[in-house]
Amino acid sequence: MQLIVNNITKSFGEKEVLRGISLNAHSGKALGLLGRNGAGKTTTIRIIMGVFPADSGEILVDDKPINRNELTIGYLPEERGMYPKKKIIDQLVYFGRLHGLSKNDAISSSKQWLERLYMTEYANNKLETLSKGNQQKIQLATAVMCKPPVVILDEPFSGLDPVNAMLLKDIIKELINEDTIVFFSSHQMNYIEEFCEDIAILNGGTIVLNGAINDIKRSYRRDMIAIDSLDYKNILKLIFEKFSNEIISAEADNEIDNRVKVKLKEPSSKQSLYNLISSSGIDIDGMGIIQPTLNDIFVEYTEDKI
Amino acid sequence: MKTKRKSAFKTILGFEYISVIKNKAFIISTILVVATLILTSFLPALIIGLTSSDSSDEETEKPKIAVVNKAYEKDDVIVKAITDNFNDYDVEIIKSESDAQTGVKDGLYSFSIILNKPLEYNYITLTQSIYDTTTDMVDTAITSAYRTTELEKKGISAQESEKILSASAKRNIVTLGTDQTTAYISTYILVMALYMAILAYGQLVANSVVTEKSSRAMEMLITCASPSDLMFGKVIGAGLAGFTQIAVIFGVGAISLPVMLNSMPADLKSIISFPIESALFAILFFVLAFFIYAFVFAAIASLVSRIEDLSSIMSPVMFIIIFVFMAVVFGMNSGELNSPLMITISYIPFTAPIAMFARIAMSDVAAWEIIISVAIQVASVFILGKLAAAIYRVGVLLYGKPPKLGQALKMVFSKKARS
Repeated sequence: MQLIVNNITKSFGEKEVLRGISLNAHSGKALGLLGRNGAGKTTTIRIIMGVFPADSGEILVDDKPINRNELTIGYLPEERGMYPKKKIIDQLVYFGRLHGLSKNDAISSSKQWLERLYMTEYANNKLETLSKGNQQKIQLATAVMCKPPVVILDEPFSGLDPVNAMLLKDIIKELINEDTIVFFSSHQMNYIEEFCEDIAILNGGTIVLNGAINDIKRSYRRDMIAIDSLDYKNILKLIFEKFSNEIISAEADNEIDNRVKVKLKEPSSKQSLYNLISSSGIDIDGMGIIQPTLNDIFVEYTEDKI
Repeated sequence: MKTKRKSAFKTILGFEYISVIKNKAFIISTILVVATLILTSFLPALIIGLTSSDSSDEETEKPKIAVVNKAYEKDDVIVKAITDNFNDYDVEIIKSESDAQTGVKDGLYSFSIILNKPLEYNYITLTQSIYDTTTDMVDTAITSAYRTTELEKKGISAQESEKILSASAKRNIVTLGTDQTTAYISTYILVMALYMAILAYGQLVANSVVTEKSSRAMEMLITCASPSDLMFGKVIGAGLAGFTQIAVIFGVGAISLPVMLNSMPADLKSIISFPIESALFAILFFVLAFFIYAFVFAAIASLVSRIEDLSSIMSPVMFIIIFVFMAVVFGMNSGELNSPLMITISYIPFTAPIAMFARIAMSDVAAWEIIISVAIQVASVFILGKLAAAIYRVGVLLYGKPPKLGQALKMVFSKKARS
C-alpha cells in the first residue's frame, strides 16, 4: 500500500502554512517527518487524518482518494491526548470503539495491549496517577490497538526510560514488519536513523529534502576524513608537512578526543592520504570518511539564514 | 460508508451518558433530592403525631374563671355564655367579690369577672398584656348573655335565639380558571428547580468540553470522530442523563407526595396543589431549556482551552439566565403573569421555557399561545444546534487566548463558506 500526499497547501487566515507539500509513504517502511517547531508537521498530520481539509492538493491511497471510513489511522499525538481523570481501561475501550472495534474486541484488545506493555495492574487506575512515561505507553496502546494500516507517531519516545524505549522500539519494528505504513516525527535524530529508511524535511512550508537517508548521505561530497589516533598531534604535523596542498583544512576535532578532521580539496585524493598515513608508522585506531549525521543535514537545511 | 460515522456518534453518546451518571455531583444531588422528598412527605405526619400525643398525655386541670353575678337572677345564662366562649376553662360562680380578687392574686383563678350590670363588668387579672384578647371574648360572652335574656323576655326561646345569634356565613370559593394562591408554592419550586437544573447541566457540559481541550484529549478525539458527533454526543448524552435524574425524582415524588398531602391538615392542603399538568409542562420545558442552553454552553466552551478562562466567557449567558429567573419570579410575586413583559419573554427562545411555564402554571394561557411558544423553542433548538456544531468545529482546534464572540463568529462563517 502506498499513501501519497500530493501538493497540499493550507493557509490559516493570512498565514500560509503549507505551500505545496508532497510525500510518499510505503507499507513496511517508516517515513521520518522532520521539521523545526512550527514548520507545519502537525498541520500536515491533521490534514492526513482528516481533521480539516487542505486548501488544495489531495491525499491518495494506492492512487485513489483516501477514504477515512475504510482506512483507520492510528495516531500518537505529541501532547498527551487522553482524559486524566478517567480509568485507563475505560478510555482504551472507548478509543478502540471510536476506531471501529466492537465493544468485545475493544475490551480484549485493550487487555492484550496492557499486558504487552506490562501495565495490567494499572487498568483500573485514573490516567493522571501514572508517570509521564507510563502515560505515553497508554497513549501508544490507543494508537495501535486497532491494528491500523497507517500509524502516525509524533515524538513517541518522549518521556520514556531506556527500558520502555526498547519496548517501544520492538513494537515499532513489529509494526514495520507487519507492513504498516509508519509516519515518524521526532527531533531525536538517532531514533529516526534507526527506524526510517526515508525522510522528508519540512521547512518554510515546503519539503526541502526528500528521499532515502542512505542516498542523501551518499550524495554529499565525500571530502571529510577522520583519523583517530592517540598520537593525533603527529598526524596533524605529518599532514601539514606532506599533504598541505591537497587540503582545505586539518584540525583536531573539538568534540571527539584523539581525532583529526581533514577537509580535502578533492574527494579523489583521499586514497593518497590513506596511503600517507598508513605508511607513516604512526599508530592509528581508524581512518575513514565522515558522513554527515542526520542532525548535520537537518541543521543545514533548516537553519535560519540571514 | 456511513457505518463508521454512525457508530462513532452512538459510542460517544453512550460514553458521555455514563460519564454524567457516574459524576459525583450528579449522584449526590439525586440522592439529596430524593431524600428530601421522602423526608418532607413523612414530616407532616410526624409533626402531627408528636403534637397530638402532647396534649393527650397531660392530665392537667383546666384553669378556672370566677364569676360574681350581680346582674341576673339566675346564673345559668351567664355561665353558659362564658363557658361557650372559654372551652378550656372551668367557670365557677362565687358570691364574694373579695374572694374573686384574692383568688386571682393567689393563682386560684386565671381571671375573675364581676358582672355589675348585664352589660357592665369588672375584669380582674394579674397582668394585662397588649396582646390579650381575653377581654374581647368576655365582651362577646356578656353581650351574648344579655341578648339571649332579652330575647327570651320577648318570647323567643333560648334555643332559637342561640341559633340566630351564632349564625355566620360559610364560604365556598369556585375558581373557574387557575387558582394563583394554591399554585404559587408548587410553581415556585418548579421554577427554582428548572433554573438550577439549567445552570447545573450547562456548567457540566461546559466543564466537560474545556477539560477535553485542556487535557488535549481533544487531539485524539478529533482524529476519531467529527466535531459534530462529539458535540451532539456530549450534549444529548448529558440530556439523557438529566432525563434519567428527572425520571427518578418524579418517580419518588409521585409516590411520596400523595402520602404527604394525605397526612396534612385540610387547611394547609388547600394552600398547596401539585397538579399533574404542571409537572408534565415542567418536564417539557426542562427538555427545551436544557437543549437551548446546553448548545450555547458547549459552543462557547469550545472556544476556551483553560478552565480559568471559562467563567469570563460565560458571563453573558449567565446574565441572561439570571435575568430570566428574576423576571419570572417578579411576575409570579406580583400576580401579573400576563403583563406585556411576561408575554414577550414567553416567546423569546432564551427566556421562553421558564416564562411560559410560570404563566401556564399560575394563570390561564390560550392553547395557541403555548403551541406557538413551543414551536419557536423547538425551532431554536435546531438552529442553535447547527450553529453550535459550526462553532465547535472551529473551536476544538483553538488554543491560547479565547477569541471574542464576534471574532469567533467571523471565523465560523468564513470557514463555513469555504467547506
